[in-house]
Amino acid sequence: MKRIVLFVILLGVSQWTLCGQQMSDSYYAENPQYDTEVDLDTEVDTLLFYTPFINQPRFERLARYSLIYAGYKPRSGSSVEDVRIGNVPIASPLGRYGDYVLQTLLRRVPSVRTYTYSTSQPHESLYGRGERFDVGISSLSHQSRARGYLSGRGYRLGADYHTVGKCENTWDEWHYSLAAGGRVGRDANVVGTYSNNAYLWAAVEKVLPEDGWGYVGHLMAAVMLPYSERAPRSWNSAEVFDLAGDNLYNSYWGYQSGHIRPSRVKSECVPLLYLSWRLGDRYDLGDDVAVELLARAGSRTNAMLDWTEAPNPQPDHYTKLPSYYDDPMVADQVAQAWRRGEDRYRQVDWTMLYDINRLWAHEGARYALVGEMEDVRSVVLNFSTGKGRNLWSTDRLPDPEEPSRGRLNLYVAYDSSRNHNEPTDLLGAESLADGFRLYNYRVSRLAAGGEIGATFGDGESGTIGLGAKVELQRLVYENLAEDSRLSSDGAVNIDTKATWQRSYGWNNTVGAVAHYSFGSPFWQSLFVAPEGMTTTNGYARGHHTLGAEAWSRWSVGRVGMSVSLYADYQSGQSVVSNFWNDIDKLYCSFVTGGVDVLSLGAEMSVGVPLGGGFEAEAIVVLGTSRYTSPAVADIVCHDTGRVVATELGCHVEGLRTSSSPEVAVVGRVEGELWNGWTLSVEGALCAGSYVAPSLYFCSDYLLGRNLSPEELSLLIEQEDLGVAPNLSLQLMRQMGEQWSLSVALRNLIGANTLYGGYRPMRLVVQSDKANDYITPHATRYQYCYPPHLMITVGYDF
Amino acid sequence: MIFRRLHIATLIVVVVVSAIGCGYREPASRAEGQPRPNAPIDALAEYATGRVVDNLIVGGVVRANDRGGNFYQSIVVEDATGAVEVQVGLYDLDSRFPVGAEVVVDAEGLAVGYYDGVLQLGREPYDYSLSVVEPLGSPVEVDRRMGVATWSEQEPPQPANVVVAELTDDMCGRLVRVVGVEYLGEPTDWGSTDWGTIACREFLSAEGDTLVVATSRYADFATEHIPEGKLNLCGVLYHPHGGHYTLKMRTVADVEE
Repeated sequence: MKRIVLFVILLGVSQWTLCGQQMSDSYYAENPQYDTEVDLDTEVDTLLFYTPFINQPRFERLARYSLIYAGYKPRSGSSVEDVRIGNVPIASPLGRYGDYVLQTLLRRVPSVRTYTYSTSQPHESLYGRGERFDVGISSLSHQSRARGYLSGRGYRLGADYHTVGKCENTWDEWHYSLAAGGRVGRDANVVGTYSNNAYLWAAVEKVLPEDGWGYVGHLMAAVMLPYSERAPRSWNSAEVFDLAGDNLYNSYWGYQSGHIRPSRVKSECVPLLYLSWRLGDRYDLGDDVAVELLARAGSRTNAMLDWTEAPNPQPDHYTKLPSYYDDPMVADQVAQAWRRGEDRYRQVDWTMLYDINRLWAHEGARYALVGEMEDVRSVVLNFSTGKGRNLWSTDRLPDPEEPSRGRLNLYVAYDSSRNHNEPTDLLGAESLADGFRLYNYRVSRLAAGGEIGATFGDGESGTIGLGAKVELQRLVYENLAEDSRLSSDGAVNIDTKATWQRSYGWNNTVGAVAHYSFGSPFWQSLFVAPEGMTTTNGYARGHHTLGAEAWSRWSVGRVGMSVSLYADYQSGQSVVSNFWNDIDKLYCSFVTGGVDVLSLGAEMSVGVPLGGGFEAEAIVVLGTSRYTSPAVADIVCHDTGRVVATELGCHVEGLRTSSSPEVAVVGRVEGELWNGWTLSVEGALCAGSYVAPSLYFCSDYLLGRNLSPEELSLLIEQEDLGVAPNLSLQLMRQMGEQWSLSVALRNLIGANTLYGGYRPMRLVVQSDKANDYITPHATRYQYCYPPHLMITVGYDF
Repeated sequence: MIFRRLHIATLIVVVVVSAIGCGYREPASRAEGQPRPNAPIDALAEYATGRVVDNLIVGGVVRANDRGGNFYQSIVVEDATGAVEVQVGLYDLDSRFPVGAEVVVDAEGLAVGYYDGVLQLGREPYDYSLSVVEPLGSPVEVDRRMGVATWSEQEPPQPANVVVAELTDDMCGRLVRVVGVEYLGEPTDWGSTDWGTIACREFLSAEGDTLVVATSRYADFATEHIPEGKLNLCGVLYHPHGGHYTLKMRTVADVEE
């Protein structure tokens, strides 16, 4: 039957506030040359966020509450996070930025099945997570589908096309899968942001004839071309929000020739090639021998304004705010300009940047958009054999339906990350002036490892799982600008797990998992100051992680309940932060070692059928993560490697390590209302969110000075972000086979709710003849969306 | 199959085109909208120690700015009739008002005064202030009153050579090039001082006339050693009451051996 591609025309719903996909990015830098990298980047591809939930792994569990929060950002290199295609890990520990773009787009490819840890289990653990994308085609039913969706005024427009089929009239059995899609979107609440992405997916699988042993061979080739571009939103101080009169003020844009132009744009395109040969059962993908190759090559760019010998172009820089001026008349003039909405002062003044570049055309641009680029190259060759479809060891939560399973993986991997920066727009100039900080270095990693895991037992008497992973790696740092090279000694990563689970009755389970790992430090950051490495090597050692979780799930009548408890202790972690040292006027690395963190958490949930087709669920999540002991740090000049200060005590004991809420309570009611309409109502409350401390602010480098009590307090106090409530409801209906409609009212009581906050590692230093007076820069925040309506129309064709 | 491929191709084209952003048109320069001067700089002298009450827009070539750190948050603008030091009160003036650029200044409402013989323009001084004028200080005020009208990549014309004996009060505020002076004191640098923030070095001409060179301790060249022998020095001229003519250089490039 012929199918005609139709694209839905925008609906005229301009009378409502409509919201689209939103990016948040706190890659803040007062001077981009000297970044304080606070990478709290989050992405939601289909749903809103900006709710009280900070994006931390243990709260990703709440992603299933679609109204309140969705999306995730797994960071590479974590011993408890594991993202794979087939049996092959995706993320390289060298990456500066997470692979969430690829992972988010893979989720949109219908022929890629997504498994999280223990998808066959009713319990979804708090203690780390993992995800596996399985690209088997031949077992899928043949289908073609396309979907378009939109929100009003073009704030969110997207489409996906997918087809799976089998080639007819061929001797061998060939299957194919094709998919393409994309979305474009701005944000109705935050000016100057957008998020666009597109992907193309093609896969082909050849099923070989069954051999005498009953095994079937599969040859697979898959290509994924993902592209993403987005302009993020800024984090701002309280003074700026007050001046702007808008909690959703964004300083990362300005008008250029009448058009909104963002000053920060992130883009990435890292295509992926996956080849596999697998021998196993025809449809049960868990019993096999497999050889897989995963290759990726591409680049990521984070472009932002940079400058030299010119005024700071950021409109919210502290020297441009009323609080900076001693003269009250001047301060008032600046404040009035903001409150009058004069975009020349509230936003980036692109005209001024172009004008100054014109004035200095003979010497080169003093302003430019400079992209921090990461060229990614990665190849992994993996051999796998075993029984059971899940991850490297057993399931962390063994499947009682499949006793005695096991898997062995052996792999070699090469990753290369070339980091460099280049101007992406010279803003009217022909060349770049001297004075821009340009760098060009590569970090390469060669690794080989093996993973083995097995489960024993059956569901009734309990199953036991054991797993271990060992990886050897060698890293090389090359400063391509200066033609120097440094290599690490071989480093070892170890992971071990032991699991136990038992079921009682038809829906009651209890289980536990214990985990130990030893991980190498993130060598990329340490290598940026190679000369400094030789003197700070004592800190650049691996860290240990010991953790355990226990859970129980049971039913009483039709009421389901679960309880989980976890504890995680990380010892000896190395942390490196690059920052502008306002005291010594140097770009430095703050290299900390011996960081010990204890994390504790619990979750309790209860689900109750209410009758009339409605169900209710309540969940309480508690969790805290705190430093348990002092750490030790060096300050190293980033450019020369000179040690500015050494053996600094960092007094962080008892301080919270992140701004995730320590208490979250969520309630949800969902059910069919009438005539196919489904209603979901969700309410949430978060409390115990604190601004994470800077190790630098807690170090003797600052605390050892002659500071007043007020100065001390400003440095080390952890600010409480307050209680954050949230209430949302959604109506959904599938109308026939093709149309779907969703109407959501979100954040109904979150008008002035803080989403999060962080403290830049910057100081204002004022001196008189006797003393230096230091004041940290103001904390920066982001607010949740105000109450808003979102309407989404979908059409399958 | 063909239809499917067409579907995919269409979809891809639409999505990619939708996702690709358009370039940004270069904005027009603000210089195009700058008002033209309606009075020479020496017209400001009529309002000395008071306020400019008339619609007075002056303009001239920037002769000195904060590039070398010796002119703190100010620029010196000169035309055929005279020169004025505008107390701007902001940082990074060199990038916005480079030497050689033609700048216009809306002086209406601003205060005018003399400091060490040099005409200065700024806000009215506070009652308690010892300054002749206060800096404008506010980026809003600076943007409203000042702007670059034209600029050239060519070097601005250099001042004529003069000897110390030829210096006059009319030259105060202007860029001058004093030739044939020599520092005969103890070897030292330009800007180190045990007291205050300005170092003064006395130079002598061949005729025995004294020229003082004033350098801020925060100037880029403050720690540069003063060369021996006869020098030609370029800078803005001042004449403190009862004192010698004083030269304030802009950068170390103003020193010729």
